[in-house]
Amino acid sequence: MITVRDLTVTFRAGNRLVPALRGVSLDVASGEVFGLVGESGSGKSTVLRVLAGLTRDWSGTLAIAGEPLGRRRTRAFHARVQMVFQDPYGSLHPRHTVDRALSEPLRIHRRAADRDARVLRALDDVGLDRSFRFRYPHQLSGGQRQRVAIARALILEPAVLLLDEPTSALDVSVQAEILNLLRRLRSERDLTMILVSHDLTVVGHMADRLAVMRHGQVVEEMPVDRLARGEPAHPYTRQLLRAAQGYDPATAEALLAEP
Amino acid sequence: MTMPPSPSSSSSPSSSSSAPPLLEIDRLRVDFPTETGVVRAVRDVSLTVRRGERVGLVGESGSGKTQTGRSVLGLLRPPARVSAARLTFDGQDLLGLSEREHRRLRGRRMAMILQDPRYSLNPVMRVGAQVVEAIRAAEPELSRRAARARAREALAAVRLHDVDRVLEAWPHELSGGMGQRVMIAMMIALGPDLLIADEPTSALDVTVRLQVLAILDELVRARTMGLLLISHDLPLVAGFCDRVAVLYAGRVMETVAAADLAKARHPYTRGLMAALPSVDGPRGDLPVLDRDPAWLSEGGGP
Amino acid sequence: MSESSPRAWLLAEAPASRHQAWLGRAYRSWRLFRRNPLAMAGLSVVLALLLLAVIGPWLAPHDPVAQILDRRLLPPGTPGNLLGTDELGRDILSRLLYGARITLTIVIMVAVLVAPLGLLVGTVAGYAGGWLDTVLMRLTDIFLAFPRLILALALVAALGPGIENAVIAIALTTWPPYARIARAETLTVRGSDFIAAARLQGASPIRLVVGHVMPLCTSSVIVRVTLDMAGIILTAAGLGFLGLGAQPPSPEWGAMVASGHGVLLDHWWVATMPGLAIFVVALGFNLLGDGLRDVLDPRAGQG
Repeated sequence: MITVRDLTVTFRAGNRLVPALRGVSLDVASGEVFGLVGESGSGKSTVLRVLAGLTRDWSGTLAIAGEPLGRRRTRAFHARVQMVFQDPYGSLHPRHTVDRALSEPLRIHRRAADRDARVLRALDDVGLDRSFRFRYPHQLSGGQRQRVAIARALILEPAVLLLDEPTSALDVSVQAEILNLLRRLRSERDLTMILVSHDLTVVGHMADRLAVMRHGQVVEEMPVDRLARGEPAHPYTRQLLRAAQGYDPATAEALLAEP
Repeated sequence: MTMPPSPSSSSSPSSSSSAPPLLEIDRLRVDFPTETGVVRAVRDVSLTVRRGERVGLVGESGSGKTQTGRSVLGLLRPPARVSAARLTFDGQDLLGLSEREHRRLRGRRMAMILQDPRYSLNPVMRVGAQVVEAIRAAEPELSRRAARARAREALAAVRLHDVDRVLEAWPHELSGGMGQRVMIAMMIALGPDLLIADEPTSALDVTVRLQVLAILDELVRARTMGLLLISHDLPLVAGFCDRVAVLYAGRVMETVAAADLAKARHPYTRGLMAALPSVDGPRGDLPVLDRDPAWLSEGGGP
Repeated sequence: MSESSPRAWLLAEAPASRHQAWLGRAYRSWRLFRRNPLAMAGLSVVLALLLLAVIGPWLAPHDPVAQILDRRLLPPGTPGNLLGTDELGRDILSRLLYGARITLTIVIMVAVLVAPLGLLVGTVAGYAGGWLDTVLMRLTDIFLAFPRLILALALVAALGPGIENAVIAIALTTWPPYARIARAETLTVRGSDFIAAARLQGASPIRLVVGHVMPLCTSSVIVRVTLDMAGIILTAAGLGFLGLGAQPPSPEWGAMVASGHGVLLDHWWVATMPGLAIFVVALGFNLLGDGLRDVLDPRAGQG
C-alpha cells in the first residue's frame, strides 16, 4: 500500500545542514497498522510529514497503492490519505465550530450531497454526541478534540490514516478510549495506518509491525510479536523496551554509565 | 458508600518511620473563586513525606496535583485560597509564613523542579552564571569563587561529565536531558531538605527520562532528602517511588506503597492501571475507566 | 418564555445551530466587554455619534449654512444659539450636528478601504512568503517611510481638494501598519497544525488565507482600526484645517476649527466647540478600541 524507498531529508538551520532522514525505506501492506517508534529527533514524524506532503524538500521514491508521489499532491491524494496530529489543542481552528471543521473537507472536495447527514454520521462514528456539532474547540476537552480531529480525517473516507502521536497529549484513561476508537475504525473501514509514537507500549498495543528509528535511520523493523516476546535484535530497541516498562534502578544506572 | 482502603496501613517501609515527617499535609484545600462559583482544586488532601522518602503524587490533568505542590512551596497567589488543618515543613508551620519567609525557605530548604527546563533557564545568560547566581541569591555571604566551586560540585553530582563546557554553554546549546540536569544541579546546590518535582521528566525522551530519575534517586539517597514527585505516569512512579498517593478531582483516592500499586484496591487506581496499553498484553480493547460519582465525596486521606 | 431563557439559549453549552453558536460566542464577548466601564463609555460615544449622524439634521435648530450676518460671533448660551455662532453668523450647534455625518462618512470610508486592503496584503505576504512577501513588504515600507500628512497633502494637491480625495489620501497613507499587523499574525499561525490539517484536506491557498488565516487576523486589525479612528479624524480635520479636505461652507469639524482659528483669541468658542467634538469622538474611539482589544485579542484567551 505504502512504499518508501531511500527517503532522505535535510533541513537547513541557519547555514548548517541538518540531516533529518538518511535513506529510510519502509513497506506498509494494505490494511496494516505500522508503528514508527523513536525518540525526539529520530525523524519519525518527518517520515509522516513527507508522506502527507507537508514537507516538500525530500529525495527518494514514495508510492501509495502503486502510484508514485511527487512533490505536490493532488486533491485526489488528500481524499485518500489523511492525518491526525499530536496536539488536539493546536490542530483545530480556534474560530471554527466542529460543524465547520467537519464540513470543510466535504466542501473542498465538492461533495455537496447530504453534507449535513455526513457530518452527523461522522460524529456518531467517533462516539461524539450530536450536540457537539456547533461547539467551538475551546468548549471541548482534549479527548473530545482528538475525536473531532479523527472525524475530520475520516470524513472523506480515506484509505490511509497517518497518526502523529495521537494520544501523547492525553490522559491515560482518555488515551485508552482513543486507542479503542482507532482500533474499531480500523477494522470497520479496513484502514491502513502509520502510527508514530515515542511510546513503545502504544505501538506495541496497536501495531502489526513496527520500525524503530534513531538519528534519521531505521534501526530495526519487526513484527509486533517479536516485541511482545521481548526479543528485539537491536540493543537500542531493547533499551527502549526496558525504558518503556517503567523505572527500574538497574536499567537507569546502566543508561547513566553509557557515554 | 464504599470506604477507601485504609491508607495508613501502607506507610513507608523505610527506616525513619518513627521520626517526625519532613512534610506534613493535613486536609489541604485550594479554592479558586471564579465568576461561576468556587472551583475546589484540592479537597482535603493529606500526605506526609519523610526524609529519604520518595513520595509520588499521581493523577490525571485537573486532579489538583500541581496545586498541591505549589501550595507547599507558597507559590499560589490570591485569588487562590489555601487552607489546611496542618501544613508543616520540618515542624514549621507553612500557612502562617510571610511571602519573604517563604522565599527564604524556598531558596535554601525546599526546591522545585519544573517540567520543561527550556522555560526555567534564562536564555540570554550562560548556564554557569545562572547556577552561580542562584546559589548566591540563596546564600549572599558566599564569595563568587566559593559559589562557582559549589556550582561545579553540583554539576558533577548530576553526572554532567564535561562540567567546564556546560558552565560556559548557553541554555539553547543543552539538550533537554542536560537542561533538566542543570536545573536539578541548581536546586540541590543549595542543599535542600525537600525537593518537589512537578513532572520533571515528561518533556524528556524515555531513555533520558530514566537517566534523570536515576540522578534524582541517587541524590535523595545520598543526601537523605525528601522527594515529592508529581506525575501523571503511573508505571514510572510505581518503579521509582516508595509511596504513591493517587489523586482524583482534588481528593486522595488512596495512598499505597509503590510496590503494591499493581495490587491497588481503589477502583480508580485499578482503572488507571488497566487502561495502560502494554507491549505484551492482550491486543483487544483497553478497559475504559468508568468514573464513579461517589469518588467525589469519598477520600480525604488518613 | 421566561426572561432568562434568551440568555440561557445564548450561553448553551450545546448550540443547536450555526447561528446560535456564533451568537453565543458574540454574547460571551459582549459580557466580557460590558465589564469594562471605560470601553462602555467609548462605545456610548461612538453610538451617540452614529445616532447624531442619522437624526442630527432633524435636531439641528438652524440651517448649518444659513448666514445671518447680524448674529455673528454670539457667545455660547445665547438664546437660540446654544453653542454660539461663528464669524458668518451660522449656528455652531447645527453645524456640529450636520458635521457628525461628514465625520462619520470619512471614518467609515477610510475603514472600509484600509482594513481589507491591509488585511489582504498582510495575509497574502505572510502566507505566501518568498518573493511575493518581499515585494509586498517593501511596497509597504515605502508607504510607511513617507510622512503621513505630507503624502496626503501631495495626493490631495494632485487630485484636488474635497472629502472623497481626502478619504483616498488618508486611506493610502494608513494601510501599511495594517498590512504589517496582519503579516505578523499570519506568520504566527502559518506553521500551526490546524493550517497543516487544512492543507492536508486539499484546501487551496485562497481558501486557506481567506477562511483560515484571515479570521485570526481580523480581530487585531479591527482593534487597530478602532484605535486609529482618532488619528483618522484628526488627519481629516488637519486636511480640512489646511483647506484640502471638506470645502466651505460644508460643516466638517476640522474645517470649522480652521475657520475659527483667526478669531480664536477674541471668540474662543468658534474653534473650541468643533475641537471639543473632535476630542470627544477621538477619545471615544480610543476607549472602544482598548476595550475591544481586551475582548478580541487572540492572545488574551479564546473569544
